[in-house]
Amino acid sequence: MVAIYRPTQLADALAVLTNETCTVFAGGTDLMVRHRVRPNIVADFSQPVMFIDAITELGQIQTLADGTLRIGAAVTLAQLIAHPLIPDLLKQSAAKIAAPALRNRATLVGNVCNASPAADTLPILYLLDAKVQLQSCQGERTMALTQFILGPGQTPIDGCELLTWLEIPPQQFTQTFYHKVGTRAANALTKVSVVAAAQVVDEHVLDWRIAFGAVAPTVVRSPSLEQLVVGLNVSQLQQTHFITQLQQQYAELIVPIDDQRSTAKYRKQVALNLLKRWLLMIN
Amino acid sequence: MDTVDARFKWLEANGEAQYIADRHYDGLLEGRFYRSTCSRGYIKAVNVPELPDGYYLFSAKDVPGTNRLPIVVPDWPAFADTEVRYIGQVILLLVGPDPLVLEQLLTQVSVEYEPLTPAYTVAQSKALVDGAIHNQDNLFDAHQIDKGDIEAGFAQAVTIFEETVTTGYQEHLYLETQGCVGYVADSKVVIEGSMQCPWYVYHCMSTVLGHQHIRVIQAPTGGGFGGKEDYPNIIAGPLAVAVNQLRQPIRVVLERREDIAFTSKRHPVEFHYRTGVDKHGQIVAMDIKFDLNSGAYFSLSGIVLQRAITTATNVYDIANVRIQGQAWCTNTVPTGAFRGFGSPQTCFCIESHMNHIAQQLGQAPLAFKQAHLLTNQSTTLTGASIFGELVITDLIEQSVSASQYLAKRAAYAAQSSQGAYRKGIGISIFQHGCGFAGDLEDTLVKAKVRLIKDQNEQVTILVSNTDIGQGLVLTFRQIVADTLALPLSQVDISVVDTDSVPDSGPTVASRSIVIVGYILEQAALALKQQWQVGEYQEIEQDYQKPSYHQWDQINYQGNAYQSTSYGVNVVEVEVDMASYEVKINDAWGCYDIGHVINEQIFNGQIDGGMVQALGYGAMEKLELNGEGVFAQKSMADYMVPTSLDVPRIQRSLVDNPYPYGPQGAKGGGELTHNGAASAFVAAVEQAVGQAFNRIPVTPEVIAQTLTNEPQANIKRIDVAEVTNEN
Repeated sequence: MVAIYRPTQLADALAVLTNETCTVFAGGTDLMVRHRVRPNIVADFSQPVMFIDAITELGQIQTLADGTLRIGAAVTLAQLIAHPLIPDLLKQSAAKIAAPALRNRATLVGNVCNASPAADTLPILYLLDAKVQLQSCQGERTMALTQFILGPGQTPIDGCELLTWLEIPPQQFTQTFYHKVGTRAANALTKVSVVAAAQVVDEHVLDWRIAFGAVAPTVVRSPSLEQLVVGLNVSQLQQTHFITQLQQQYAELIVPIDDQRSTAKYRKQVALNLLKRWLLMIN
Repeated sequence: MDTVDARFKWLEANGEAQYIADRHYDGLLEGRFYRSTCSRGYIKAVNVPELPDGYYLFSAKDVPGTNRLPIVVPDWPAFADTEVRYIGQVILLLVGPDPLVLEQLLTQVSVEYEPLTPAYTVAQSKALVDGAIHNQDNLFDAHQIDKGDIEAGFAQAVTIFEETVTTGYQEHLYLETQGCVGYVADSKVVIEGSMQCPWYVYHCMSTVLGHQHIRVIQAPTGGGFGGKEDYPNIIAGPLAVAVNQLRQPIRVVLERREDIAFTSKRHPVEFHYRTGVDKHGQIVAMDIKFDLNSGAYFSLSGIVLQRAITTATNVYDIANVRIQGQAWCTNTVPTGAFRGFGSPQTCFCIESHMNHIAQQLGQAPLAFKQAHLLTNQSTTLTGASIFGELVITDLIEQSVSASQYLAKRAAYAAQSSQGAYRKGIGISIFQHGCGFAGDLEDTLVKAKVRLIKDQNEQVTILVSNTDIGQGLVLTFRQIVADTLALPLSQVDISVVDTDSVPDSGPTVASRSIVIVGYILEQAALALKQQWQVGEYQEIEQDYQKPSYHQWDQINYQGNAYQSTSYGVNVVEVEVDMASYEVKINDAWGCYDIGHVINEQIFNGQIDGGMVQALGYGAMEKLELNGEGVFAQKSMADYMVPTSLDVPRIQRSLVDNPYPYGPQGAKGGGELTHNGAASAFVAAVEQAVGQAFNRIPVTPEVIAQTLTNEPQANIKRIDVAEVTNEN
């Protein structure tokens, strides 16, 4: 048996983490699978467990004066989907995760901390330039999500730290695109996903972004390739030569694997096909 | 005698039903299997840890009777003794009070093997590396049927088509995993379990224990689909040994991953067709060879093989046919019963082959099939005349009209090949033989039913057929109540308990309604004639073979089944040409099951069967890895359709009463799984303009087919000139 903590105040949670290393449990939808033994046998956690679902403060979605959205670590996917200020792309991806019962427990920040290559919300959060805020008794630090996700299941979070808030800066897109290719229509894990957004004014591309999920150890997003597109005229984006060239450049970054759910070849082909579809959609 | 709650499925719907995993018994022990980690080899040593008090291990040495389970032939040991044939084979049963301690003890058991080179595929089985696993040649069973004169048929052919079509494994994924509990009551060893065939379990227990102080009771069963035909024996055999010795309640419940990995699966099959077509575009000869992968033990493979052989030409009247079917032993999980029992494989393969020939000949697939349909004048593949009226053309007409198949087929043929989304529509025609193969109902099963009427005029049905979710208890009560002109509330049905019900045969082969239901109807008629108010009465009735039914089990000649049901499916799809995902936009199912008794219940079969078949065709990928175990290990890997993956199914029936079925009914439970995979693939083929010769047709398979150089799977040999020279 292990010790269990369920603080209601953030300060108490941070104090616990200062004293001992805990498994932080928000919704638990990944943890309960990872630590399962068999039905009717208590899950096998090797270190103390701290539940953060009772910390009211972290169950909030806030808007800062500059328009930045702050999403607390205990905010569930169901809350996210129902909230008026959450960007539509993020809602779309959250709504495609598993089934309603799971979305009632699973949290966005949990999806981030799990750092799975196939995480559904990560490509969107990459695309939206999300940041994470880590807090401990010693203080706090904020970093870009791209700095936080180091590899499959790997993050730089310290044992005494808690990821308390996820921040999304305000965006101005005129068009977005999201396609999750799951193993089926619902309750599905992702084989490959593509999310994209653009700001086009008078046929001029002022902003253009694309991120790919489940095709590499971490989400694929390339600011340098995006800069090749920004500043162009829409008609240039849709020239066959341009599309092929951009596909080739992204192909170097897209390095998926074969597994029991799909093949590397399929994932790469579909990612590049969807890149093309997105380019042709822009107007 | 306990009767089933008269409020149909009330307890299940309310969560009150006590499935095996929900049960509580005083002093209950849990049982866990230690399974082979070696695909093929001899057991050299079994090293077990010292057991704490109250923990016990059982092995082949503890079997008081015979350590072989008599499923069809007694080849599958209750506990592996000298050899292991697949990863997951039961070697030991570990029993004790604390599941966590059992879990830890299992990790301390080790077995030393002398390994041999395993064979996982039919090709590897045929290669006999390190000798045969079974007998001298690994061949479990083989049969051949010859109809007409195959050589004379090919002599008339101007074109010959050769094609190989294959199907994969399929997992049942019943809602409730396998499980049994055993205890001693009234000095009998009692097994209660989630099962289809309690009398099968009874016979296995009596063999393993060497006595008949035994009793088997069916617990509420959360789905079977054939998966709970043979496998409950595999659990009950070792469990009975432990209960017999300890005289204490013991339960074995498989967890989901264990169930997916180690219980029986649908047989993968490889069909090789060689089909001759004459100058009028008519098939004049078909030479069919196929192989079944039976896994490590024979189990039900012989009967699956028989069904696949005797229905190999599906609904078509082909003059000259040769069929050779073989079932092979491999070092994988034994393949067993799964809804359709060889027919979904056969129907997919022949329907696809017919579609591909039509395409090669420049003909519409439906018209080509219509030109070859069985008619009332036809002689079947096994040399029998058709009994009753065939209504296949009505089924086709109704389906084509409801789905607007012809107009859509033409419209989709004309769509742009450059579209981002492309549509297609496909049709399949299929059959299913109802009841045991041939006349095994008469020579082997000999079903018996009993009706009891008490002094209060309440009637109780006693049969061994189990409700595993398909709704059997209601239809049986309805048959008896209607015959006796009683309200439904005056007819009960007994819980299936070998202490009280006669052996009316297993719940398999779409036989429960057409065979057992009919005997019940006969019994009810007899009771009606003899009804004495206020008196206790018992009526027993045996199966009687209809006089027209003739069968030669050695040569496979005669009526391959007592009756046959028919169906037509139409499936409409849209393929995303960027992601190769297929959306099933519409699906139609039209059936001849004689006369339907309870349409609502049969609608459940249509929905369930078609969804399961759409999964089989589109997404249910189950593949062996290099170690001979399935790569798909959980419900997150093995994909069955959700309600969002399938459309609302549009159902219809053609009424065609069968004189030897209750109220004119034939079988229908398996029929509904036979056609949708083929109709789905035909629709995808039209949408993407490529042919597929295996299922499942996943997005990965579509991508691979479209991005590689197009290759014809079907080989076309033009023999016109050669024939002219002759």
